[in-house]
Amino acid sequence: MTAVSGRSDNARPGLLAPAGATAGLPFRVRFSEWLDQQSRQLFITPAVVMILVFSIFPLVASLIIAFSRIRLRGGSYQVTFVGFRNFNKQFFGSEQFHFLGTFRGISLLGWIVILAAAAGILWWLYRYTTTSFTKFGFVGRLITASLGFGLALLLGATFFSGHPFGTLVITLFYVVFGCAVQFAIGLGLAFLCAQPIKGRTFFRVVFFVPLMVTPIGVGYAFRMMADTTKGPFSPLWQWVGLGDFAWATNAWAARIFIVVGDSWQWIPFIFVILLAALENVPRDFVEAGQVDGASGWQIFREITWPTILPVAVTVTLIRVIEAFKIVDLPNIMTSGGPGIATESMTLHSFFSWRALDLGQSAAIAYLLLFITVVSCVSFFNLVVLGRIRQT
Amino acid sequence: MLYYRRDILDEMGLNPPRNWDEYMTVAGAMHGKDLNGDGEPDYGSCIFKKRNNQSYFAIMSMAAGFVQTQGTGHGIFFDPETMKPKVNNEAWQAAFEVYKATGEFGPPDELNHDIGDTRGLVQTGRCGMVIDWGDIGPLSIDPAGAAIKNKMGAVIMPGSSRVLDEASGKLVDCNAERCPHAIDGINYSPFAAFGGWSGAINKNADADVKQAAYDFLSYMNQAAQSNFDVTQGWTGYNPYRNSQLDNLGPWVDAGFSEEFAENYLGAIKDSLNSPNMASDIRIPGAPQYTGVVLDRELARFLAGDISAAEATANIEAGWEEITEDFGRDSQRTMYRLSLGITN
Repeated sequence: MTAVSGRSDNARPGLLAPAGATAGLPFRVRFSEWLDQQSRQLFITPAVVMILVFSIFPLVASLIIAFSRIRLRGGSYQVTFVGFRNFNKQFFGSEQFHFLGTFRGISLLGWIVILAAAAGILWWLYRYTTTSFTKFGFVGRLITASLGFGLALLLGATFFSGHPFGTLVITLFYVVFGCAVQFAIGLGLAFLCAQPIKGRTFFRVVFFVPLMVTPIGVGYAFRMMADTTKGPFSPLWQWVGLGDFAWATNAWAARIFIVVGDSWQWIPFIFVILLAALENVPRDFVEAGQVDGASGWQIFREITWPTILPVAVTVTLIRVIEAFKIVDLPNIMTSGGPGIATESMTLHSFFSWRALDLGQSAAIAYLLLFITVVSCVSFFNLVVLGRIRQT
Repeated sequence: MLYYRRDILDEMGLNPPRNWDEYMTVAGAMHGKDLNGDGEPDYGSCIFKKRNNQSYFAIMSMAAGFVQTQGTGHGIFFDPETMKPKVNNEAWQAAFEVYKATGEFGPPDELNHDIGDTRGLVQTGRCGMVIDWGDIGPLSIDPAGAAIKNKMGAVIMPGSSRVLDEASGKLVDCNAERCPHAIDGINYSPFAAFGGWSGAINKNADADVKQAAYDFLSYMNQAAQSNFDVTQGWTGYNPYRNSQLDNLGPWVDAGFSEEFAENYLGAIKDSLNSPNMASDIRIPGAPQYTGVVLDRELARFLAGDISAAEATANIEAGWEEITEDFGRDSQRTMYRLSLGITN
C-alpha cells in the first residue's frame, strides 16, 4: 500500500495538486487522471466480482438452503426455514445410519481405540500448553482435537466394533487408505524415474498419462476390467479361477477396487511433483554421502527425504483435499453399492440432490466442507508449515 | 414383462412361469445349462439389481402382484384414505425375498448390473429369463441379438395366489372376493413402471416455438414414423398405438417371426388391458420415495446388511417422513388423483 502511494506521490505530482489546478485541462486529460486515481479499485474489481459471484454467493446460498426446505414449483420455488432439521437428521434422525453408521454398542477394541485416542489428544494438548502457548493456537488445537476425538469415537463405535458405518467413515477410508497407497507408489515410481535408467523419459510420460483421463472414463474402464463375466479380462479371471468372484458384491472388495481406480488416476500427480523434488536434491550432498560410505538407504533417509519433505507434505495436502471430494468412481463403478458400502459423502449429497431434496444435499455438503477444512487446515498448520519452516 | 427362452423351455418341456414359485423352478432348471452354444454354463434368470439404477422398478413390478388386487384404483404404495404407507407388510417382504432369491440363478455380479448389463447378457443368449420393459422384443431381432433372434417368448409379469390382507399385513390365499381379477387363482398386477413417456411443452414458450414443438411431437407419434420406431431396439420406444399392437406387418418387416410378433404383442396387450394394472408413484417427491428411500433400503437388503422386515420398516418410516415434509393432506389428494379416485 505504502509503496503504491509512494510511487504515485513521486511519479505523478499532478495528482496531489489542488483541484483548481486541473480545472483548466482538457477533459481527456482530466478523465485519464481520474482513471489513474481509481486504478487500484478498477484492477481489483473483476477479481472481487468473480469471487463474489462464483464463490461467496454459492457458499451463502447453499448455507441458506442447508437450513431450509426448498420446493421447486412451476416457474418458481418456495423456501421454508427449518432450522437445524437437515443436520439433525444426519446425526440423530432417519439418516444417522447412512451418514454416521449403525450404533449397537461398543466392543472392547472400540473402547481401546477411543481411550487411546482420548489419551493421545489430551497428552498433545497438555504438551502444547506447557511448551508454546498462545490463546489463538490453543483454540485452533481445541477444534482439531474435538474433530479428532469425534472421529475416534465414531470409528470406535462402528468400524472397530464391527458395526456398519456410514458415508463419513467410507470417505475417510478413501482419503486415508487411498492417499497413503498413492503416496507410497508415487514416491517409489518417482524414485525409480529419478535414477539414470534406460528409457526413463518414456516411463515418465507413461506414468503421467492417467492424470489426464477424465474420472468418468477411469470409472467405466475399471468397471469393465473388473467385470469377471463379460469384461475384457474375463478369460483371465476365469483362468485364475475367479470367474465367479464378484468384487462388486463384496463390501471390502468393492471399496478396495475403487481405491485401485482412484490410485491409478492420482499416483501420476504425486509422481510428477515428487520427481521434480527429487531432481532438485543437491548432487553434492548425495555424492558427499557416497564418498563417506553411506548406504543407499542412509542417503535416502538422511539427505533425500528431508530435502523433499516440504514438497511431499504439500502434495499430500493437495491430494487429501481432492480425495475428500471423491464421487465419480463410486458413482460409475458401484453407484454406492453393495448396500451403502462404497458411498462417499459427495455421492450421498448427490443422490439427495438428484431427488430434489436440496436442503439435505446442502447440509451434507456443508458437513463435508467442515470436516475437510478442519482436517486440512490442521494438517497445514501442524505438519506442512512445520516442515517448511524447518528447511 | 417376463421374457423367456422359448426354444429352451420347449426343449425341456416347461411352461412359462405364472407365479414366482414357478419362476424359481424354471430358472433353477435352466441355470448352469449352455443356452447359447458357446460351451459355457449360462444363467437361469437375469434381473438388474444395481443400486440407483432402476432396481426399484423391478421390486415394484414384483410387489404389485402380492399387493394390488382390487383393480388399478387400488394402488400399491399408500392407503388412499390416510396416506399411511402400505409397505411394511408380508407382501412387500415376500417380493424382497423373491427378488433376492432370483440372484441365486443369475450372474455372480448381478448386484452390480444395471439394465444395460442385463440386456447385454440377454442379447448374447446368456439368460434363460429376464424381466424388462417392451424393449427385449426389438432388441432380440437386432444384429447384436443374433444369438436369440426369434428364440424368445414374452408373457405378463408373474402374479401370486397369496395376496396382502391389509388389515393384518399378512399374506392370505386368494379367493373370489379377495382377488376379483384373478385368472386360475393367480392375481396378476402388471406394473406400469416409469408410467410411460409423455411430451410436454413449456407454457411460457413463444407461440411459434410451441407450434414447432407440437409439430415435432405429432410427427414422432404419427403412425408413419412411430410404427417403424417401435420395432427398433435402439429407440427405446415400445408399442402403444392400436395400429402397432394389432398389425403384425411392421414387426414382420423388421425381422420378427410371425409367431414371436404375435406372442410379444399379446403379452403387451395382456398387460395394458389388465383391469388390475398397477400405477407407478405419481405424486410430488416421487424420486425421494422410490429413488432414494426404497432404492437404498432395497440395496442394503440385497447386500445382506438388513433383513426384509427391517428394510420395509425403514421404508415405512422414510416414506412417512417425506409425506410429512410435503404435507399429508396435499399428498393424499395427489395420490388419490393419481389412482383415478375423484370423490
